[in-house]
Amino acid sequence: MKNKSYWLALLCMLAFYMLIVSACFKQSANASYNIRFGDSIISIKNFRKLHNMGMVEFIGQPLVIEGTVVANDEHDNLYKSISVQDITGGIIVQLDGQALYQTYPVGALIRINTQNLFLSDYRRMVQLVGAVDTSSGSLVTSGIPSPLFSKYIKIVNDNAPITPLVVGYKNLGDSLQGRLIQINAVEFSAADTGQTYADKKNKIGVSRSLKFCTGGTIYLRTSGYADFAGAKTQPGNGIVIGVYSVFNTEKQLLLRDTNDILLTGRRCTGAAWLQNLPQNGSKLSN
Amino acid sequence: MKKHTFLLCILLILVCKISFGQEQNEEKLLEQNEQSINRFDWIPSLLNANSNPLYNAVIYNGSNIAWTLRGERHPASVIDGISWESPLQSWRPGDLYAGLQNEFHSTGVSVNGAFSEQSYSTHSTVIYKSAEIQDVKKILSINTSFSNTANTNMLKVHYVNGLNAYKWRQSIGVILQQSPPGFVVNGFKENVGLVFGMDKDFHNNRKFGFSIVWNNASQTKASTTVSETYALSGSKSYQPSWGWYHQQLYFPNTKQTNAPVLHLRFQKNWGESTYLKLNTALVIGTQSQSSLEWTKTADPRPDYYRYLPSYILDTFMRKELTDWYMQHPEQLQMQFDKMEKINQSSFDKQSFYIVNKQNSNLLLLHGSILFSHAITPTFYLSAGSNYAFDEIHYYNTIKDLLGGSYYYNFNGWINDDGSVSSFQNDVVHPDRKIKQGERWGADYLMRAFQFKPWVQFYKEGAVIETTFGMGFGLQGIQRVGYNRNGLFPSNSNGISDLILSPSYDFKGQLVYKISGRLYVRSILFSEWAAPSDDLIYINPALHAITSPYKNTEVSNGVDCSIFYRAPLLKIAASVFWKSKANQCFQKMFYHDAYAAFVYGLLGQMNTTASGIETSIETSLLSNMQLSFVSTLSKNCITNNPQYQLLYVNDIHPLETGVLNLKALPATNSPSLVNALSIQYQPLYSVRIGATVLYAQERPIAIDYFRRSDMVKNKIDAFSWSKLLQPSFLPDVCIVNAFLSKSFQQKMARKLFRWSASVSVRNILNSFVPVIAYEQTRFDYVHFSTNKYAQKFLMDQGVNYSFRIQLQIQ
Repeated sequence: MKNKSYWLALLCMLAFYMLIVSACFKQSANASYNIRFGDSIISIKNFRKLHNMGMVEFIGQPLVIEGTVVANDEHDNLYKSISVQDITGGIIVQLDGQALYQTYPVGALIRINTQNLFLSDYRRMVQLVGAVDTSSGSLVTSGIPSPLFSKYIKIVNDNAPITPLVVGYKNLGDSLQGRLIQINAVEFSAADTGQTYADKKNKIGVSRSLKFCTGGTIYLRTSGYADFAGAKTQPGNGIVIGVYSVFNTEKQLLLRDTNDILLTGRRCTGAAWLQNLPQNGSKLSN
Repeated sequence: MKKHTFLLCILLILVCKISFGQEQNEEKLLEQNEQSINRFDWIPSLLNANSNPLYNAVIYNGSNIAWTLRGERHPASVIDGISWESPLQSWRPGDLYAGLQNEFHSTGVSVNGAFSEQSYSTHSTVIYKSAEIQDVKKILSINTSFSNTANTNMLKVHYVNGLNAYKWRQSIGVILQQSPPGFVVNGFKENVGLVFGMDKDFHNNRKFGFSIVWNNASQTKASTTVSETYALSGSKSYQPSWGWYHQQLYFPNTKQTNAPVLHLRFQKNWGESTYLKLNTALVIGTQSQSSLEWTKTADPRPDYYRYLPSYILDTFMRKELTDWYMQHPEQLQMQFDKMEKINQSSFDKQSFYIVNKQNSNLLLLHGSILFSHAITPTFYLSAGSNYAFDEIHYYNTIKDLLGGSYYYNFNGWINDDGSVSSFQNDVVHPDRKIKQGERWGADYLMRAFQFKPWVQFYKEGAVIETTFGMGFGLQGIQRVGYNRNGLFPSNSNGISDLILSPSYDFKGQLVYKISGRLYVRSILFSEWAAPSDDLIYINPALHAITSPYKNTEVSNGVDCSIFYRAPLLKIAASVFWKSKANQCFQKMFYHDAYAAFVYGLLGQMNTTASGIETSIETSLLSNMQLSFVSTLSKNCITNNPQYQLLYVNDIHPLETGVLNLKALPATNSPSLVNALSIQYQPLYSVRIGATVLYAQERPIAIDYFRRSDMVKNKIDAFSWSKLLQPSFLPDVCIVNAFLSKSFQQKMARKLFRWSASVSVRNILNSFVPVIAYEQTRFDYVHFSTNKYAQKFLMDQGVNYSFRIQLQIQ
């Protein structure tokens, strides 16, 4: 009898416990959503034509551009932006996020729904931006907010092939903005040889002039935040790959990293650069 | 006898065996420094209330509004004569007992700084508990409860063996607490607790007993967030600290405790008025907490200020982002699948996001000696000492690489100075790739001892009672570093100097009995307290450099009370004043103007707490009791303390000066709280109770460093005047209630006592911020007070608990 009451009591409590517990579990599920990207893809060249220099255009139509990421912030030479190109042209896309290279690595084929975004330019460099603000009296642009990346950008393919476009000095023009280009037979000017790419200590960007053996100058622009900002410019002659950009009328090239520079050949402009050799006279090739 | 000795040995062996057993990341620091929140530990337990109405109101009803007495954050707790107060601060004494607190019976509560015969303390509120087994009959009690808090399901079994043939009393208690992920959306809890105790009386003048308390718990931690995310989520229960991972809920922020406690107690009586108590407690075990870490990647917190609509200047884009969050609430949680993809994106799967586990191996020995003797029938002397030897070994392990294969042993909490070794956590083994489960980061041990002898005298007279007590203390603290980091290679490894700090205190009490029912009492005290390790060392995880403000804290206080105690009416009123001088504080944070991590050190701060506390208890009817408690207090800073900002990489001063804190609140306890409780007993077996609490003028905890002269000179006058004004939360009204029913039946010579209860907290579903504070990060560039908004943790609203208990005797 004693045992019976005891087990009866326990059973009652257990039943109460189980009843409440089982009634109160709830199922969890990961909600998913799909972003619709328009089917009508416009070429980047045609998309850029929507812009008038010095103006800001609001994209009200569901225009989609598709292109390959050719440069990003992996080495901090680009800040909060990526460069996207298709076979017709390229464009800088401002994204208000960090470590963009992890989400949009070089070689990623992406589609950008540009509806509700803006086309603007900074010193004639055309860019796609998320928002513009003129309340301070000057034009301030900002990138697409990080939480909205997935709304505007869709990754189609992670490993699209990229081949830089080989161009000569005479071919450098605004149509190449944002594109990955390769220039051959160039070398740093005497004054800029053996110098750091930028002022890493004070985080100040610097332009170094690259001379074409055939005549003409393009400036290699490097941010003071770039992880290679403290590296020295090479003394030789050769190939440089980078994203073509402009600063007003100045033609510029943005390096992705120092692997984009291959200046191992003999210089074509004499030995004036030797004046920049270190005092200890360390031996340099060529 | 042999059987019991054998059992004791087995248990001891078991216990021993078990217990051995950069810019982009600046804000995560703030999160780590935020207060650890245990709100889900709170179970409505009005039925366990103490007889002191002020204590009941504060402890059982005031916890979610930060209602504290006299500026003290927590009441001191003494368990079997052991206080777990330690010179080492970075551990959680409360978690040693957690769900097992109720296995200890209360032996008294000392409020308003009153003397106690159980120990000597200068704390205003001290709770005394014991595990000593008092029952001499066999009792089995089984409790089960269900609630919508972290202790969703609870089952507790307690068995007292009674007095056996050898005069041993034994008890064993087991508790299981659990809250499954998905029920309480903010987390989970798993807790298995065990208490085993034995006590024996020898010749009626000696008592020996021991208890083993083992609490093995794992639970999630809640996080604070800004009001904007509460609004976007539309929920008071919103938590930014969890997310989805492989379509399952994933909680990176957790805490664990696995540290058994052995209590030994001995008492020897000489006659009725002289006794000696010896208590010792040993803890050997581990406490840990896990949290998300990241390096050189995007901030994963969904409530990071740059991800919120308020950060967007453009109206259209701000609205678009707001709508986006409304349509996709899952975006307000952490995205672990995305983190995994990033961790797997590099060719060798370098993890950029990990879940880190900070471990603390505890080896703590605390003890107390208490000797009490009646020199004459009206003159008592008690003397004793508390002692502690503590060692805590801190180290990190990687709990989860989140899909990656390794994490570099680098310190992400320093400023990039271009040096190749600065960020190395271990220059002896640089660039080490850490696998899951392996150690990384800081590795050091803190060692401390404390010895506090004291004496108190009590003289009883027909009209006047006087008590006087004094104590002396000596503590020593030392750091032992086990790795040599890149920033401080000569100061991170090895044994540091032993830092000795004395302490003193005096306390006097005078009671004047106007009549048998009416008496007045005054208490005076002074205390010189030694600083704890978190105030002595600037950052012991990195080096053994000490703070310039590691001074002795001086407290003085006075309390005048009047008591009226009649059978139907009890009134108590106290007026108090308490000052604390030489207080210090330190915190590491990201400073926008210097664009660098800095240590903020504050020193020589003085505060006062003054006010009136009243309580009235009356029995309106024979079955109805009413109590009213009111506290009116002012806790404020009384001077403008000094401060220093030090560069994290080399401790060089960036800024020194004065902080304009005078007259700002020193705590965030409400200035005025009124609580009315009613208990009605319509039948002997039925009790109904309710408490209505109304709190006013609760300040938001302030950030000290933004109120510096440096800011004063740069900010506009209006903004500065706003900084000098305290911000208050809205007044709040909370109603809590309970109902209990019990009955008993006798069957087969056994007495079955059943009781059931239901308690409901915050019936009005009031909007109650449990925690509210200004972030340490401040816009030192443009001085916008909105950029880094205040942070909150909201009370979940109505919560309930059903409980059933069966006791078989």
